[in-house]
Amino acid sequence: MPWHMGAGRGCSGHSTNLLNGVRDKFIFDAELPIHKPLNVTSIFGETWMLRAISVFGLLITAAGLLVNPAYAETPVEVLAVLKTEASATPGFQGFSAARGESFFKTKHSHDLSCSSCHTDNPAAQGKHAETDKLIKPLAPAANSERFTDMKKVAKWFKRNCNDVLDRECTPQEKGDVLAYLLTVPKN
Amino acid sequence: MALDFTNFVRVFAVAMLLMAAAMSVAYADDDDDDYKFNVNNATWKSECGACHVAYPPGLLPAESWRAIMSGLARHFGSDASLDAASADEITAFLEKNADTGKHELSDKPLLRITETRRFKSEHSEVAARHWKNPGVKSRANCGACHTTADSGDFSEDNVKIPR
Ligand code: HEC
Ligand code: HEC
Ligand code: HEC
Repeated sequence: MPWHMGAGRGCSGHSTNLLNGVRDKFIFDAELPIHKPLNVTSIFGETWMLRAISVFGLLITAAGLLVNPAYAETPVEVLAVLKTEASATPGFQGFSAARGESFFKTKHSHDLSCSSCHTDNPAAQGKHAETDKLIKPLAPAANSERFTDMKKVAKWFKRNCNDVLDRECTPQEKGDVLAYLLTVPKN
Repeated sequence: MALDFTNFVRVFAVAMLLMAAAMSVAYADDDDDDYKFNVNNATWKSECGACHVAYPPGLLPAESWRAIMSGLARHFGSDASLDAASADEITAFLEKNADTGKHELSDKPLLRITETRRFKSEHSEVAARHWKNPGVKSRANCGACHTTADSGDFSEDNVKIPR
Protein backbone atom coordinates (compact mmCIF):
# COMPACT_ATOMS: atom_id res chain seq x y z
CA MET A 1 0.00 0.00 0.00
CA PRO A 2 1.45 3.36 -1.05
CA TRP A 3 0.06 5.06 2.03
CA HIS A 4 2.25 2.93 4.25
CA MET A 5 5.31 3.69 2.21
CA GLY A 6 4.60 7.41 2.42
CA ALA A 7 4.25 7.24 6.15
CA GLY A 8 7.51 5.35 6.48
CA ARG A 9 9.41 7.95 4.57
CA GLY A 10 8.09 10.75 6.77
CA CYS A 11 9.55 8.91 9.71
CA SER A 12 13.18 8.84 8.65
CA GLY A 13 12.96 12.50 7.62
CA HIS A 14 12.01 13.73 11.05
CA SER A 15 13.20 11.25 13.59
CA THR A 16 16.46 12.78 14.81
CA ASN A 17 14.97 16.20 15.18
CA LEU A 18 11.87 14.98 16.88
CA LEU A 19 13.75 12.74 19.19
CA ASN A 20 15.78 15.72 20.38
CA GLY A 21 12.59 17.63 20.87
CA VAL A 22 11.14 14.83 22.92
CA ARG A 23 14.29 14.26 24.91
CA ASP A 24 15.00 17.85 25.78
CA LYS A 25 11.65 19.43 26.10
CA PHE A 26 8.60 17.32 26.31
CA ILE A 27 9.05 15.10 29.28
CA PHE A 28 9.71 17.84 31.79
CA ASP A 29 7.72 20.82 30.59
CA ALA A 30 4.38 19.54 29.49
CA GLU A 31 2.14 19.96 32.44
CA LEU A 32 0.35 16.63 32.26
CA PRO A 33 -1.23 15.37 35.43
CA ILE A 34 0.31 11.90 34.91
CA HIS A 35 3.92 12.95 35.19
CA LYS A 36 4.13 15.71 37.75
CA PRO A 37 7.39 17.63 37.23
CA LEU A 38 9.99 16.36 39.66
CA ASN A 39 13.37 17.87 40.17
CA VAL A 40 15.53 14.85 39.33
CA THR A 41 18.59 16.99 38.59
CA SER A 42 19.05 17.90 42.21
CA ILE A 43 18.90 14.26 43.24
CA PHE A 44 21.04 12.49 40.63
CA GLY A 45 23.04 15.12 38.74
CA GLU A 46 22.66 16.31 35.16
CA THR A 47 24.72 13.85 33.07
CA TRP A 48 23.02 10.83 34.53
CA MET A 49 19.66 12.35 33.91
CA LEU A 50 20.34 13.25 30.28
CA ARG A 51 21.58 9.75 29.56
CA ALA A 52 18.65 8.12 31.23
CA ILE A 53 16.25 10.31 29.33
CA SER A 54 17.90 9.66 25.95
CA VAL A 55 17.73 5.92 26.51
CA PHE A 56 14.14 6.20 27.67
CA GLY A 57 13.24 8.31 24.63
CA LEU A 58 14.95 5.89 22.25
CA LEU A 59 13.19 2.93 23.81
CA ILE A 60 9.80 4.60 23.51
CA THR A 61 10.44 5.54 19.89
CA ALA A 62 11.71 2.05 19.04
CA ALA A 63 8.73 0.45 20.76
CA GLY A 64 6.39 2.75 18.85
CA LEU A 65 8.01 1.83 15.54
CA LEU A 66 7.86 -1.89 16.32
CA VAL A 67 4.23 -1.81 17.34
CA ASN A 68 3.17 0.03 14.23
CA PRO A 69 5.73 0.74 11.55
CA ALA A 70 3.12 2.55 9.41
CA TYR A 71 2.77 5.61 11.64
CA ALA A 72 4.91 8.57 10.70
CA GLU A 73 4.74 10.21 14.12
CA THR A 74 3.60 9.50 17.64
CA PRO A 75 1.26 11.85 19.54
CA VAL A 76 4.17 12.73 21.85
CA GLU A 77 6.26 13.75 18.84
CA VAL A 78 3.38 15.83 17.49
CA LEU A 79 3.19 17.55 20.87
CA ALA A 80 6.93 18.24 20.69
CA VAL A 81 6.51 19.90 17.28
CA LEU A 82 3.68 22.08 18.63
CA LYS A 83 5.90 22.95 21.56
CA THR A 84 8.70 24.12 19.30
CA GLU A 85 6.17 26.35 17.48
CA ALA A 86 4.67 27.67 20.71
CA SER A 87 8.09 28.43 22.21
CA ALA A 88 8.51 31.18 19.62
CA THR A 89 5.78 33.19 21.39
CA PRO A 90 7.16 35.41 24.16
CA GLY A 91 5.97 34.38 27.60
CA PHE A 92 5.27 30.75 26.66
CA GLN A 93 5.08 28.69 29.83
CA GLY A 94 4.25 25.19 28.65
CA PHE A 95 0.97 23.49 27.83
CA SER A 96 -1.90 22.90 30.21
CA ALA A 97 -4.28 19.97 29.96
CA ALA A 98 -6.82 21.81 32.13
CA ARG A 99 -6.82 24.83 29.82
CA GLY A 100 -7.07 22.46 26.84
CA GLU A 101 -10.12 20.77 28.30
CA SER A 102 -11.97 23.99 28.90
CA PHE A 103 -11.06 25.26 25.40
CA PHE A 104 -12.35 22.00 23.92
CA LYS A 105 -15.69 22.12 25.72
CA THR A 106 -16.43 25.86 25.43
CA LYS A 107 -18.73 27.15 22.71
CA HIS A 108 -16.98 29.77 20.60
CA SER A 109 -18.61 31.16 17.40
CA HIS A 110 -21.72 29.76 15.70
CA ASP A 111 -22.73 28.02 18.94
CA LEU A 112 -20.06 25.39 18.18
CA SER A 113 -17.40 23.81 20.35
CA CYS A 114 -14.96 21.02 19.61
CA SER A 115 -17.30 18.79 21.62
CA SER A 116 -20.16 19.55 19.21
CA CYS A 117 -18.69 16.88 16.93
CA HIS A 118 -16.16 15.07 19.13
CA THR A 119 -18.50 14.95 22.22
CA ASP A 120 -17.61 15.89 25.79
CA ASN A 121 -15.83 12.56 26.05
CA PRO A 122 -13.17 12.43 23.30
CA ALA A 123 -12.63 8.72 24.01
CA ALA A 124 -16.14 8.05 22.71
CA GLN A 125 -17.34 7.98 19.12
CA GLY A 126 -18.34 11.41 17.86
CA LYS A 127 -20.92 12.58 15.34
CA HIS A 128 -20.68 15.44 12.82
CA ALA A 129 -23.02 18.17 14.10
CA GLU A 130 -24.36 18.95 10.64
CA THR A 131 -24.27 15.72 8.66
CA ASP A 132 -24.58 13.09 11.43
CA LYS A 133 -21.61 11.20 10.00
CA LEU A 134 -19.97 9.13 12.74
CA ILE A 135 -16.46 10.21 13.78
CA LYS A 136 -13.98 7.85 15.41
CA PRO A 137 -12.74 8.78 18.93
CA LEU A 138 -10.21 11.62 19.04
CA ALA A 139 -8.29 10.62 22.17
CA PRO A 140 -5.13 8.63 21.31
CA ALA A 141 -5.85 6.18 24.17
CA ALA A 142 -9.07 5.18 22.42
CA ASN A 143 -7.88 5.43 18.79
CA SER A 144 -4.24 4.72 18.04
CA GLU A 145 -4.42 6.37 14.60
CA ARG A 146 -4.92 9.83 16.09
CA PHE A 147 -2.05 12.33 16.08
CA THR A 148 0.26 10.04 14.12
CA ASP A 149 0.48 12.13 10.95
CA MET A 150 1.56 15.77 11.33
CA LYS A 151 0.04 16.75 7.97
CA LYS A 152 -3.34 15.31 8.88
CA VAL A 153 -3.26 16.97 12.30
CA ALA A 154 -2.40 20.36 10.77
CA LYS A 155 -5.15 20.02 8.15
CA TRP A 156 -7.89 19.29 10.68
CA PHE A 157 -6.79 21.88 13.24
CA LYS A 158 -6.95 24.48 10.47
CA ARG A 159 -10.40 23.40 9.24
CA ASN A 160 -12.05 22.80 12.59
CA CYS A 161 -10.64 25.92 14.26
CA ASN A 162 -11.89 27.98 11.31
CA ASP A 163 -15.34 26.47 11.73
CA VAL A 164 -15.48 26.86 15.49
CA LEU A 165 -13.55 30.13 16.07
CA ASP A 166 -13.55 31.81 12.63
CA ARG A 167 -9.75 31.81 12.82
CA GLU A 168 -6.89 29.34 13.10
CA CYS A 169 -5.87 28.12 16.55
CA THR A 170 -2.60 29.32 18.06
CA PRO A 171 0.18 26.78 18.77
CA GLN A 172 -0.59 27.33 22.46
CA GLU A 173 -4.26 26.34 21.96
CA LYS A 174 -3.38 23.32 19.85
CA GLY A 175 -0.80 22.12 22.37
CA ASP A 176 -3.22 22.61 25.28
CA VAL A 177 -5.84 20.55 23.42
CA LEU A 178 -3.42 17.73 22.67
CA ALA A 179 -2.08 17.79 26.24
CA TYR A 180 -5.70 17.38 27.37
CA LEU A 181 -6.47 14.61 24.88
CA LEU A 182 -3.39 12.70 26.06
CA THR A 183 -4.82 12.62 29.59
CA VAL A 184 -8.19 11.19 28.49
CA PRO A 185 -8.24 7.49 29.42
CA LYS A 186 -9.69 4.78 27.24
CA ASN A 187 -13.37 4.25 28.07
CA MET B 1 -29.53 -41.84 3.92
CA ALA B 2 -26.53 -41.75 1.62
CA LEU B 3 -28.81 -41.11 -1.34
CA ASP B 4 -30.61 -38.27 0.41
CA PHE B 5 -27.33 -36.59 1.03
CA THR B 6 -26.24 -36.81 -2.63
CA ASN B 7 -29.58 -35.36 -3.62
CA PHE B 8 -29.17 -32.54 -1.17
CA VAL B 9 -25.75 -31.72 -2.62
CA ARG B 10 -27.23 -31.68 -6.14
CA VAL B 11 -30.15 -29.45 -5.22
CA PHE B 12 -27.83 -27.14 -3.34
CA ALA B 13 -25.42 -26.86 -6.29
CA VAL B 14 -28.25 -26.08 -8.69
CA ALA B 15 -29.66 -23.49 -6.28
CA MET B 16 -26.26 -21.80 -6.02
CA LEU B 17 -25.90 -21.69 -9.79
CA LEU B 18 -29.34 -20.17 -10.18
CA MET B 19 -28.58 -17.56 -7.53
CA ALA B 20 -25.33 -16.63 -9.22
CA ALA B 21 -27.10 -16.28 -12.57
CA ALA B 22 -29.85 -14.15 -11.02
CA MET B 23 -27.27 -11.93 -9.34
CA SER B 24 -25.28 -11.30 -12.49
CA VAL B 25 -28.46 -10.31 -14.30
CA ALA B 26 -29.30 -7.90 -11.48
CA TYR B 27 -25.83 -6.36 -11.66
CA ALA B 28 -25.93 -5.94 -15.42
CA ASP B 29 -29.30 -4.23 -15.07
CA ASP B 30 -28.05 -1.82 -12.44
CA ASP B 31 -25.02 -0.92 -14.50
CA ASP B 32 -27.30 0.17 -17.31
CA ASP B 33 -29.28 2.34 -14.93
CA ASP B 34 -26.10 3.84 -13.52
CA TYR B 35 -27.01 3.31 -9.88
CA LYS B 36 -23.68 1.71 -9.04
CA PHE B 37 -21.11 4.45 -9.26
CA ASN B 38 -17.35 4.37 -9.60
CA VAL B 39 -15.89 5.00 -6.14
CA ASN B 40 -12.45 3.68 -6.89
CA ASN B 41 -10.06 6.35 -5.68
CA ALA B 42 -8.53 6.23 -2.20
CA THR B 43 -7.64 9.94 -1.93
CA TRP B 44 -11.15 10.99 -2.92
CA LYS B 45 -12.72 8.46 -0.59
CA SER B 46 -10.79 9.51 2.49
CA GLU B 47 -10.83 13.28 1.83
CA CYS B 48 -14.40 13.64 0.56
CA GLY B 49 -15.79 10.98 2.88
CA ALA B 50 -14.56 12.46 6.18
CA CYS B 51 -17.55 14.71 6.98
CA HIS B 52 -20.32 12.98 5.01
CA VAL B 53 -20.71 9.97 2.75
CA ALA B 54 -18.36 10.45 -0.21
CA TYR B 55 -20.86 11.47 -2.92
CA PRO B 56 -19.95 9.49 -6.05
CA PRO B 57 -18.75 11.49 -9.09
CA GLY B 58 -21.60 10.15 -11.25
CA LEU B 59 -24.12 12.23 -9.28
CA LEU B 60 -23.11 15.64 -10.67
CA PRO B 61 -21.82 16.97 -13.99
CA ALA B 62 -18.16 17.99 -14.34
CA GLU B 63 -18.90 21.75 -14.18
CA SER B 64 -20.50 21.26 -10.78
CA TRP B 65 -17.52 19.32 -9.45
CA ARG B 66 -15.11 21.96 -10.72
CA ALA B 67 -17.14 24.67 -8.96
CA ILE B 68 -17.17 22.66 -5.72
CA MET B 69 -13.45 21.93 -5.90
CA SER B 70 -12.59 25.59 -6.39
CA GLY B 71 -14.51 26.68 -3.30
CA LEU B 72 -13.45 24.17 -0.64
CA ALA B 73 -12.29 26.80 1.86
CA ARG B 74 -15.94 27.82 2.21
CA HIS B 75 -17.78 24.60 1.51
CA PHE B 76 -21.46 24.67 2.58
CA GLY B 77 -20.46 26.61 5.71
CA SER B 78 -17.42 24.43 6.53
CA ASP B 79 -13.72 24.78 5.87
CA ALA B 80 -12.83 21.73 3.72
CA SER B 81 -9.62 23.14 2.28
CA LEU B 82 -7.12 20.70 0.78
CA ASP B 83 -3.50 20.67 -0.33
CA ALA B 84 -3.07 21.28 -4.08
CA ALA B 85 -1.81 17.79 -4.94
CA SER B 86 -4.80 16.01 -3.37
CA ALA B 87 -7.22 18.55 -4.85
CA ASP B 88 -5.81 17.99 -8.36
CA GLU B 89 -6.04 14.22 -8.06
CA ILE B 90 -9.61 14.40 -6.78
CA THR B 91 -10.73 16.90 -9.43
CA ALA B 92 -9.39 14.63 -12.17
CA PHE B 93 -11.21 11.61 -10.72
CA LEU B 94 -14.49 13.55 -10.38
CA GLU B 95 -14.32 14.96 -13.92
CA LYS B 96 -13.51 11.59 -15.45
CA ASN B 97 -16.49 9.86 -13.81
CA ALA B 98 -18.95 12.76 -13.75
CA ASP B 99 -22.58 12.56 -14.83
CA THR B 100 -22.69 13.11 -18.59
CA GLY B 101 -26.48 12.93 -18.92
CA LYS B 102 -28.35 15.79 -20.52
CA HIS B 103 -30.87 16.12 -17.68
CA GLU B 104 -29.09 18.98 -15.95
CA LEU B 105 -29.56 22.11 -18.01
CA SER B 106 -28.87 25.30 -16.13
CA ASP B 107 -26.72 28.37 -16.67
CA LYS B 108 -25.03 28.17 -13.27
CA PRO B 109 -23.58 24.83 -12.14
CA LEU B 110 -25.58 23.33 -9.30
CA LEU B 111 -23.52 22.63 -6.18
CA ARG B 112 -26.00 20.35 -4.50
CA ILE B 113 -26.91 16.88 -5.74
CA THR B 114 -30.15 17.27 -3.82
CA GLU B 115 -31.11 20.21 -6.05
CA THR B 116 -30.63 18.39 -9.33
CA ARG B 117 -33.63 17.47 -11.42
CA ARG B 118 -32.47 13.88 -11.41
CA PHE B 119 -32.42 13.67 -7.60
CA LYS B 120 -35.87 15.18 -7.40
CA SER B 121 -37.36 12.79 -9.92
CA GLU B 122 -35.72 9.73 -8.36
CA HIS B 123 -37.23 10.73 -5.00
CA SER B 124 -40.61 12.03 -6.14
CA GLU B 125 -42.33 9.14 -4.37
CA VAL B 126 -40.56 9.60 -1.05
CA ALA B 127 -43.08 11.12 1.37
CA ALA B 128 -42.30 14.45 3.07
CA ARG B 129 -42.41 12.91 6.54
CA HIS B 130 -39.39 10.74 5.69
CA TRP B 131 -37.24 13.79 4.97
CA LYS B 132 -38.25 15.24 8.32
CA ASN B 133 -37.38 12.08 10.26
CA PRO B 134 -34.66 12.96 12.82
CA GLY B 135 -32.84 9.78 11.73
CA VAL B 136 -32.47 11.31 8.25
CA LYS B 137 -31.77 14.91 9.27
CA SER B 138 -30.79 16.15 5.79
CA ARG B 139 -31.60 15.08 2.24
CA ALA B 140 -27.86 15.02 1.69
CA ASN B 141 -27.58 12.24 4.30
CA CYS B 142 -27.89 9.56 1.59
CA GLY B 143 -26.56 6.85 3.89
CA ALA B 144 -29.57 7.17 6.21
CA CYS B 145 -31.70 5.38 3.59
CA HIS B 146 -29.22 3.98 1.05
CA THR B 147 -27.57 1.35 3.21
CA THR B 148 -24.78 0.70 0.69
CA ALA B 149 -24.05 4.36 -0.20
CA ASP B 150 -20.47 3.97 1.07
CA SER B 151 -19.69 1.50 -1.69
CA GLY B 152 -21.33 3.66 -4.37
CA ASP B 153 -24.40 1.45 -4.66
CA PHE B 154 -27.64 3.49 -4.71
CA SER B 155 -29.91 0.89 -6.28
CA GLU B 156 -33.47 0.67 -5.03
CA ASP B 157 -32.93 -2.84 -3.64
CA ASN B 158 -30.66 -1.48 -0.92
CA VAL B 159 -32.91 1.32 0.31
CA LYS B 160 -34.22 1.15 3.86
CA ILE B 161 -35.98 4.25 5.16
CA PRO B 162 -35.52 4.64 8.95
CA ARG B 163 -38.72 4.38 10.98
C1 HEC C 1 -18.33 20.17 12.58
C2 HEC C 1 -17.71 19.00 13.20
C3 HEC C 1 -16.38 19.16 13.91
C4 HEC C 1 -16.05 20.11 14.86
C5 HEC C 1 -16.92 21.22 15.44
C6 HEC C 1 -14.68 19.83 15.25
N1 HEC C 1 -14.20 18.75 14.55
FE1 HEC C 1 -12.33 17.95 14.68
N2 HEC C 1 -12.79 16.61 13.23
C7 HEC C 1 -14.01 16.51 12.58
C8 HEC C 1 -13.92 15.50 11.54
C9 HEC C 1 -15.06 15.09 10.58
C10 HEC C 1 -12.60 15.00 11.59
C11 HEC C 1 -11.95 13.95 10.67
C12 HEC C 1 -12.65 12.66 10.68
C13 HEC C 1 -11.77 11.52 11.10
O1 HEC C 1 -10.54 11.58 10.94
O2 HEC C 1 -12.35 10.56 11.64
C14 HEC C 1 -11.93 15.71 12.65
C15 HEC C 1 -10.60 15.49 13.01
C16 HEC C 1 -9.90 16.24 13.93
C17 HEC C 1 -8.48 16.11 14.19
C18 HEC C 1 -7.54 15.13 13.48
C19 HEC C 1 -6.82 14.23 14.45
C20 HEC C 1 -6.08 13.11 13.79
O3 HEC C 1 -4.86 13.01 13.93
O4 HEC C 1 -6.74 12.26 13.15
C21 HEC C 1 -8.17 17.04 15.14
C22 HEC C 1 -6.80 17.35 15.73
C23 HEC C 1 -9.41 17.74 15.49
N3 HEC C 1 -10.44 17.23 14.74
C24 HEC C 1 -9.48 18.74 16.45
C25 HEC C 1 -10.62 19.53 16.66
C26 HEC C 1 -10.63 20.68 17.53
C27 HEC C 1 -9.45 21.21 18.35
C28 HEC C 1 -11.89 21.20 17.45
C29 HEC C 1 -12.41 22.47 18.14
C30 HEC C 1 -11.70 23.70 17.80
C31 HEC C 1 -12.66 20.37 16.54
N4 HEC C 1 -11.85 19.36 16.08
C32 HEC C 1 -13.97 20.58 16.19
C33 HEC C 1 -15.13 17.24 12.86
C34 HEC C 1 -15.21 18.31 13.74
C1 HEC D 1 -14.80 19.49 6.69
C2 HEC D 1 -15.99 18.74 6.35
C3 HEC D 1 -16.23 18.42 4.87
C4 HEC D 1 -15.34 17.88 3.97
C5 HEC D 1 -13.89 17.46 4.20
C6 HEC D 1 -16.07 17.77 2.71
N1 HEC D 1 -17.35 18.20 2.85
FE1 HEC D 1 -18.80 18.21 1.42
N2 HEC D 1 -20.13 19.02 2.76
C7 HEC D 1 -19.85 19.32 4.08
C8 HEC D 1 -21.04 19.84 4.71
C9 HEC D 1 -21.17 20.30 6.18
C10 HEC D 1 -22.08 19.82 3.73
C11 HEC D 1 -23.55 20.24 3.88
C12 HEC D 1 -24.32 18.99 4.27
C13 HEC D 1 -25.83 19.19 4.38
O1 HEC D 1 -26.36 20.17 3.88
O2 HEC D 1 -26.46 18.29 4.97
C14 HEC D 1 -21.45 19.29 2.50
C15 HEC D 1 -22.13 19.11 1.30
C16 HEC D 1 -21.56 18.61 0.14
C17 HEC D 1 -22.27 18.45 -1.12
C18 HEC D 1 -23.74 18.76 -1.38
C19 HEC D 1 -24.66 17.64 -0.95
C20 HEC D 1 -26.09 17.95 -1.35
O3 HEC D 1 -26.51 17.48 -2.41
O4 HEC D 1 -26.78 18.67 -0.62
C21 HEC D 1 -21.38 17.97 -2.04
C22 HEC D 1 -21.65 17.64 -3.50
C23 HEC D 1 -20.09 17.83 -1.34
N3 HEC D 1 -20.24 18.22 -0.02
C24 HEC D 1 -18.93 17.39 -1.94
C25 HEC D 1 -17.71 17.26 -1.28
C26 HEC D 1 -16.47 16.88 -1.94
C27 HEC D 1 -16.31 16.58 -3.42
C28 HEC D 1 -15.51 16.83 -0.95
C29 HEC D 1 -14.02 16.47 -1.11
C30 HEC D 1 -13.24 17.37 -1.92
C31 HEC D 1 -16.14 17.22 0.31
N4 HEC D 1 -17.47 17.47 0.06
C32 HEC D 1 -15.50 17.29 1.54
C33 HEC D 1 -18.64 19.15 4.73
C34 HEC D 1 -17.49 18.62 4.17
C1 HEC E 1 -35.29 9.52 3.16
C2 HEC E 1 -34.52 8.46 2.59
C3 HEC E 1 -33.57 8.78 1.40
C4 HEC E 1 -32.50 9.64 1.39
C5 HEC E 1 -31.97 10.50 2.54
C6 HEC E 1 -31.93 9.56 0.05
N1 HEC E 1 -32.66 8.68 -0.70
FE1 HEC E 1 -32.26 8.10 -2.63
N2 HEC E 1 -33.92 6.94 -2.63
C7 HEC E 1 -34.76 6.72 -1.58
C8 HEC E 1 -35.85 5.84 -1.98
C9 HEC E 1 -37.00 5.35 -1.09
C10 HEC E 1 -35.63 5.52 -3.34
C11 HEC E 1 -36.47 4.63 -4.26
C12 HEC E 1 -37.51 5.53 -4.88
C13 HEC E 1 -38.49 4.77 -5.74
O1 HEC E 1 -38.04 4.27 -6.76
O2 HEC E 1 -39.65 4.69 -5.35
C14 HEC E 1 -34.41 6.23 -3.73
C15 HEC E 1 -33.84 6.17 -5.00
C16 HEC E 1 -32.61 6.70 -5.34
C17 HEC E 1 -31.96 6.50 -6.59
C18 HEC E 1 -32.48 5.65 -7.75
C19 HEC E 1 -32.22 4.18 -7.43
C20 HEC E 1 -33.00 3.21 -8.28
O3 HEC E 1 -32.61 2.00 -8.26
O4 HEC E 1 -33.98 3.60 -8.90
C21 HEC E 1 -30.75 7.17 -6.54
C22 HEC E 1 -29.66 7.22 -7.61
C23 HEC E 1 -30.69 7.83 -5.25
N3 HEC E 1 -31.84 7.52 -4.54
C24 HEC E 1 -29.64 8.64 -4.81
C25 HEC E 1 -29.62 9.30 -3.61
C26 HEC E 1 -28.55 10.21 -3.18
C27 HEC E 1 -27.33 10.52 -4.01
C28 HEC E 1 -28.88 10.66 -1.94
C29 HEC E 1 -28.12 11.66 -1.09
C30 HEC E 1 -27.65 12.88 -1.74
C31 HEC E 1 -30.16 10.04 -1.57
N4 HEC E 1 -30.58 9.24 -2.61
C32 HEC E 1 -30.82 10.26 -0.35
C33 HEC E 1 -34.63 7.24 -0.29
C34 HEC E 1 -33.67 8.18 0.09
